[in-house]
Amino acid sequence: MAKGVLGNDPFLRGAAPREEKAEEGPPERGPAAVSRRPAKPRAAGATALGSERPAPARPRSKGKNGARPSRLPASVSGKLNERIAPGEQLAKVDGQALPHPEAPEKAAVNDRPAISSPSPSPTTTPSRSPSTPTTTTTVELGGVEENRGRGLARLVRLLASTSFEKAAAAARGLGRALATGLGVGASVCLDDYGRDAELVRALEPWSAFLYQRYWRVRVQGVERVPTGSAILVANHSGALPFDGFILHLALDRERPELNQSRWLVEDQVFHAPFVGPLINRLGAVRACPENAVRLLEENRPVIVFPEGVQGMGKLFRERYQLKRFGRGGFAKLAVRHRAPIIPVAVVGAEESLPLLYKLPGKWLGAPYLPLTPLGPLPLPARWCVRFGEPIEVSQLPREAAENPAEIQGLTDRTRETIQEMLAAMLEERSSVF
Amino acid sequence: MSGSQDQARLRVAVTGATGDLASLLLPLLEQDERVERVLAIDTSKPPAHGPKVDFHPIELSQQGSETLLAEALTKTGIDVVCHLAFIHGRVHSPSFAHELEVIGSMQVLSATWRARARRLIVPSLTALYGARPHHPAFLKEDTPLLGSPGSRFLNDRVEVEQQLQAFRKSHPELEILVLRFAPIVGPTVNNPMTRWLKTRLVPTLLGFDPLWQVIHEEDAARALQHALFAKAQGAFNVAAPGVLSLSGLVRQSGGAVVPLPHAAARAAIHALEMSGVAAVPEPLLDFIHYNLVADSRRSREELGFVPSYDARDAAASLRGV
Repeated sequence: MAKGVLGNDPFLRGAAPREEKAEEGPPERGPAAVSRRPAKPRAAGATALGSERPAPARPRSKGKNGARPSRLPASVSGKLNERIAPGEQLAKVDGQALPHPEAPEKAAVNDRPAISSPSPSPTTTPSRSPSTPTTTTTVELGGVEENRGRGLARLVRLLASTSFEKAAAAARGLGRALATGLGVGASVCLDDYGRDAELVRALEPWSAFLYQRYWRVRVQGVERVPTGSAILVANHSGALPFDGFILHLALDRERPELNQSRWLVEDQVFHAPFVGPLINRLGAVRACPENAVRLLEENRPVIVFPEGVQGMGKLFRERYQLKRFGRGGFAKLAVRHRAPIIPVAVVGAEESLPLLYKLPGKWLGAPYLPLTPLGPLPLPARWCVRFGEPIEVSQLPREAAENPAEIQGLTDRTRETIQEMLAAMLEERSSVF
Repeated sequence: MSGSQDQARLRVAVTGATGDLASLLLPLLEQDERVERVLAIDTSKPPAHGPKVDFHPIELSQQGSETLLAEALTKTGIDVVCHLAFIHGRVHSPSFAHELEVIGSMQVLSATWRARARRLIVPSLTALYGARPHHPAFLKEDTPLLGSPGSRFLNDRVEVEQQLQAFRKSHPELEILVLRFAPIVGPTVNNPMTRWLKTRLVPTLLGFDPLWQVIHEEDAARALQHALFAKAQGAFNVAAPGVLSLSGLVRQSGGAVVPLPHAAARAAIHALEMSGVAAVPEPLLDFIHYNLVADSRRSREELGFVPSYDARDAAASLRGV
């Protein structure tokens, strides 16, 4: 079988790129095998030191003098590193030989005689002839070693692959989010509002997935968001408060030069167990005038949902019909702090988490338990976020904030604008999913 | 120049001179050239003190201590009184603690005024705001002090602050400066916070992770020293920069959180309290439930005090203690 047991003989497949890919695996993850591989430039003609080496090469030593080197599964690294004789030059860089990375260890482990016989050993210098059929020896040793070698190589390839890397990152992020929800997050890099930058970074695979692949969020009109302080008023929808986070992400991605936005959540969410701490660490701030004022003074875009919990409590059949906009707190803030009001319409959130029914929740301390198709998991509806034209308040005097008629006028105007935008977007929408 | 330097040299009186904060403050005052003399007042002599410090025994919880104190202050010509006579260690007699803290503070107030001292510095706690669900993300100094119903420790201090407030209104010529410290942590101080963190297995509420602030003990002492010479009066929040989640705080200080469901947490804390193991007393459950972050901007900008340890390092100072 000239092709080699594992079918991945480097010289036949031109597998050098694969080997380098395997080499690039970050040292701290995966089995020691990958980490121990010396990350160094390969000299021309240098051959694979790693996974493609067939495992069966080792047992030959047993026959030679009975010395029994350590075998898998005790240490994959030991297994692979045995290929290299101690003190062997792995490559030359600038004319200087690189020392063997495992040299001291090797001396202890590698008590066996050279594997060189009967065929040129895989551990000989890199200058050996490429045509040397190093793998032919494996054939002679029997099927068991072949399979072990194949499985080992496959395992190492899997662990070295980027998809495993991504899966591991996603799992880490999820673990961190769970820990944060339980209250054992132990993060030390919080900003003053409680946002955990490391958690957000760790959840990047998930937020990217949700934003780009699952919900395929389309953003329109984001250039209308001014620099400096602004109040972004949006419709609140869906049974769970994902929309604030997605708007925050949208601003982060589409307008990275702006100061980082924050969104205000109602008490019922902020003080809820598990969800509360988690959403706070992602960047949500409790909805109250003092917090909004401080955020505006920091010249941030502030995302508010005047419908409040009533917005989330809309049954699916009432979707996209805006509820009352509270007492116009956002309008007063805008006038007092000269911050423009940007109406924002979000379409898609209602279909992602349709509230089918409100189950009694008093026994849990909640006003109701939302009944959604997949529980807390959202459906993959398409999201579309449209930012409307800013409603300027700079022409109004500051005292207008005390004038209920003015405030009501502003509130109504904002509400109507959002309702119109929603109607237009629903018209234009071709498909929900 | 040297003449004005002598004029600027202060005579400071420190009550509660054997307490934790005083033990940190007195060495600083020894080193400080702007301080001419220190009058240490307590029931027993502070262990090791230098040449600048004179000791005067006064029992503040006794009747008539006001007169004795006023005489001592006048005789020495004290300019600034730093009132540190508060009990942070384990309290065996709540009524005595009340006497000392509330009545004692009143005596110190009147004595300071009678002795014509210029300033009175009093340390306080940001915990006096109380951790409430309706509080904003940053508590300013004008937030009402709600305390924690059921906690003698906090309620007595709220009473003291109220006395100071009332006195300030009626006697504006005495400058009263109140420093509301975030929980003071460090290797030497002993207060409910450090005792609780040192148990290493800290019960918390499952599903909640409130935001906390702390301040390092050295920074607290430095703040008091700074306050002696500062030109401001009123209340200031003083905290280390940075905010920690409760689990982060516990982890940094070398412990681990044990999250328990609400009901079980109450029962566990009650049991620990009964058995005498230091734990957060039941009335203080609010602090492991809701955020309590005080805005220390004014202490940095108006008072001019900048802590040297940030929150993370302050918490880490408890490791291995």
